[in-house]
Amino acid sequence: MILEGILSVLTPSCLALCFFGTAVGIIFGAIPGLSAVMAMVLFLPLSFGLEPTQGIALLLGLYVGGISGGMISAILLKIPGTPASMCTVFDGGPMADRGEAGKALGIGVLYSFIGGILSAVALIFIAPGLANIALKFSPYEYCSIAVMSLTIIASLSGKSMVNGLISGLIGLLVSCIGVSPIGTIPRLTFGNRNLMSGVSMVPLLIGVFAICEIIQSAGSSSDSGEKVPYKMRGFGIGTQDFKEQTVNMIRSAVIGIVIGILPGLGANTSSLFAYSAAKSSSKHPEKFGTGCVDGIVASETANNANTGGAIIPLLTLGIPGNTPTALLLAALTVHGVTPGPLIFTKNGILVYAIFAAFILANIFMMLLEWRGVQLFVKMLDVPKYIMYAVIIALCMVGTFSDKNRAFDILLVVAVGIITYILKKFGFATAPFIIGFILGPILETNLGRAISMSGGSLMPFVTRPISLAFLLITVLASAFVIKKNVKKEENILAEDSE
Amino acid sequence: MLKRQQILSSIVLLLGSGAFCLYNLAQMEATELSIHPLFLPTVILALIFLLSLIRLIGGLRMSPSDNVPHSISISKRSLLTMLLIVVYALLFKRLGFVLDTFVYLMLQMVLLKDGKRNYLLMLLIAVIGSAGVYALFVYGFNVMLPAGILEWT
Repeated sequence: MILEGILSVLTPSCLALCFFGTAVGIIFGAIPGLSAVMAMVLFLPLSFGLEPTQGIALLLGLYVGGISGGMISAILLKIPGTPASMCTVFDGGPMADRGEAGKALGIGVLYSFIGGILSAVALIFIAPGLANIALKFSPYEYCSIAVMSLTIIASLSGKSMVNGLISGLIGLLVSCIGVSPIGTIPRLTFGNRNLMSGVSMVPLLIGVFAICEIIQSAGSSSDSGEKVPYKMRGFGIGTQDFKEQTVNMIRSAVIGIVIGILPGLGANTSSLFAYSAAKSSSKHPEKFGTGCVDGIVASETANNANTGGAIIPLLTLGIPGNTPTALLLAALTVHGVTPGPLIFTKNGILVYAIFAAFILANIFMMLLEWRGVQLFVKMLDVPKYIMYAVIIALCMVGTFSDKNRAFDILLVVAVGIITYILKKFGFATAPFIIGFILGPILETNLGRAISMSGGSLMPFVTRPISLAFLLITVLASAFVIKKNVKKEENILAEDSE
Repeated sequence: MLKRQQILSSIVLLLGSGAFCLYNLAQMEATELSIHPLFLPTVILALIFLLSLIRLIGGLRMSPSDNVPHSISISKRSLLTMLLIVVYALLFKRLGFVLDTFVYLMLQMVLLKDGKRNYLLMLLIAVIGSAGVYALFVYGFNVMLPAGILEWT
């Protein structure tokens, strides 16, 4: 059955469709505003007319390519192509600035591939067990994860922790705009019906990373037509460096897989969480955000490991954890396949074909991006005055196509200008984004948890998994506070000298 | 950052968060729900208020030596870019994607390019950029973009 499944994917038509899907997915991922979901939606009707294996191979290619492609613009333009590549900007951008765009892209490609393959291994060997553990997660655990992830705000605050916390809180506040998840009451909408559905991720990310950055860059220097040099050699990482990244890589892959399994937490949360874990356990946390390889490894391994993780509950329990897997479920259902515990016995060949197609999509992704790196870095040769203008136009069209709303265009500009002003007053933008991403997870699950417990907060500390997350939060916060107090003392000592 | 700027920005945050917080508290009526929908935004606003207060005190305590020369003035080029983007966004639906993008691209390139300008190249990029992206999204990705005043059908 295993061999039959693998062979069904290794046909010329299936290989071609998977290759095509991955290439298109990379393009969709690399253009800010377009996403893997959009690519999958576009090709879903086409997949209905194909054989089940062919259709799934095409969609998996789009999914894998779409998630990975986001790092190309994240590194080269400092604009994440997809929310999943948000953390790649923090270190990929500075690396590109100092002429290491090729190295950053090479590392990103390699670890995207490793993350994808490790999640495929998890998918094949430990899928049912992992899915059962994930089912034990209740709103208490989700809420505790969100609280724990919020501690990263402190470490990404820049020079002033107070400013970072205010920035994170403003992000949380912006995430509250729209109809409340519990009670369905409009909040902070100022009577504007366009704000009823809230502020979505695409305009926010484009506003912060593209509009704000370009307004800033436009003022910082004029375009002299000078080309930024870039270094390019292999994957950009030596054997020794690869060995040093092993722990970071495995930890990030595990985080990506586990968060992928949990419904509602996307690839952006896993990359954020892995980045936070890599920074907290690093011997040189101060280097994060300045062009540190560890940051790219954590972010790219985790967001690609998330893809395999998200497929686990889909196949084993029939539960799609995010939009791409919901689209895969739709494709499977149209072909008469019902995912769930019986899928291995009823559609065993197709399941193994899915595994094979997933691995194949990751191989194609690596080959396409690796060979394309030399081409991608050439983007940096385009004069800034052309690049900035074209990027803004692409961002506007990307924002508009997300929901086909002209209001989002105005929103993206408003967000860009507000964050530009906040930046001018010393507020870092990373905490703002983190607050915005974690806000809905925190609020929805806090509401559910309190409703379940009848108002009691005790289950947060009586449930072992939730307690473990909260303990990590307390320890991490204590560590950050201690470090900041020490930093203040050093500054005072230097001043008195 | 200059002492005056930190104090002023803290006061703006303090007043904004305080006013919003009070407004929310007035809106919060008794509900059967375990958590009122305005509970979280109100808590967040209260925290912003507290942190702004800390920031304000920090600003007031700043010694003249802390006045690190850090310009927060906005350059003319940034301001004009901002203005161009705002106008581009406002006219996006009315003028239509192709025309609006063409005008924006042309003006933005002229603004950012120093020294000798190759207007022919800029014109070519503006035409290809606007019409090409329109064709790619509309015919390639099936995304409906506003045609604006160029819509004659």
